[in-house]
Amino acid sequence: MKLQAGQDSNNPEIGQSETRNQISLPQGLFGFPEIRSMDLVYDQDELPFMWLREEVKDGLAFIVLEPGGIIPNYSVEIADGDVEILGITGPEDTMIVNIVTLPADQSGKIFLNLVGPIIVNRSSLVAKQCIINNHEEFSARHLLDVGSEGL
Amino acid sequence: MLILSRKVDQGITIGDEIEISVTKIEGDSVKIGISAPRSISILRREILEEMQNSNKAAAVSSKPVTGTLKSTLVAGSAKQLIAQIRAKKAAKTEREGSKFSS
Repeated sequence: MKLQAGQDSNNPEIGQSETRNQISLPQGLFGFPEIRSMDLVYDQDELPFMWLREEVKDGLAFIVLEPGGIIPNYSVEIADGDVEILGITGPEDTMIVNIVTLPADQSGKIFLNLVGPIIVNRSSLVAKQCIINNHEEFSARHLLDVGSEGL
Repeated sequence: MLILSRKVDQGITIGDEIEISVTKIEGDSVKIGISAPRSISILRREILEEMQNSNKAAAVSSKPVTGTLKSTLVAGSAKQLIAQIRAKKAAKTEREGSKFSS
C-alpha cells in the first residue's frame, strides 16, 4: 500500500480525539520487542511534535513528528503483511509518525527516521513500526532543515 | 543454526512457500534469489540493525510526566519548527475566515 504524507501536519486527532491515546504495538518497536502498548500524547502548543511513551513510571519515551507538510514528497510503501497486521484500508484511516532524534550534543539539530515510520490505524489504534518498501529513497537519519523544508 | 552447502543454481526450500537459490558467486559476494509470499518481510540485516540503533538513540526518559515536551524541546530548531507550523496554521485559518466574510 502506498501512502502519501498529507499537506498538513496538524491532524493528530485519532481515536477519541483526546490528547492522549493508548496505541497497541502487537510487535513492539525495533530494539524494544517487548513493548506492547504506548501512549501517544500531544499538546496543541507543541505540534507537530508529540510524545510516544510508555504509561509506566520512568518508562520508555520517544518524540515523534507527523511528517505531513514538513517532509516534501514523503510517501511510504507498506508491505502487504504490515497492512494486514494494521488492518488499514487506505490513507483515511492511517496516521504516519516518524521518530525524532535530538542528539545529546545539544546542537539543536533534529533528525528523523524516515525509513522506519510508525504507522497507526486511526480507528483501532493498532500501530506498527514498518520498514518501508521504498526505503532506498529516504534516510534513517534525515536532518530536518527547518529553514527550508516544505513549509 | 542449520548450515548447508549449496552450489550455484542449487536451492533450498523452507516450508511450502519459500524458496531460496544461489544465483551467482563472485569473489566474496553471493547473489541470492528468494521467492516468498508478498506478506513475508525480507530485509537486509543491516537495515534492521540500523532501525534498532536508531530507536535506541532516539529513546528519551519519560520523566516529565506532566505531558509537555517543553523541557525536552529546548533545541532552537524545534522551537522554530513549532513556530512555523503555528504561523502556517494561523495563515490558513485567516484565509478560510476571509472566504466566509466575502
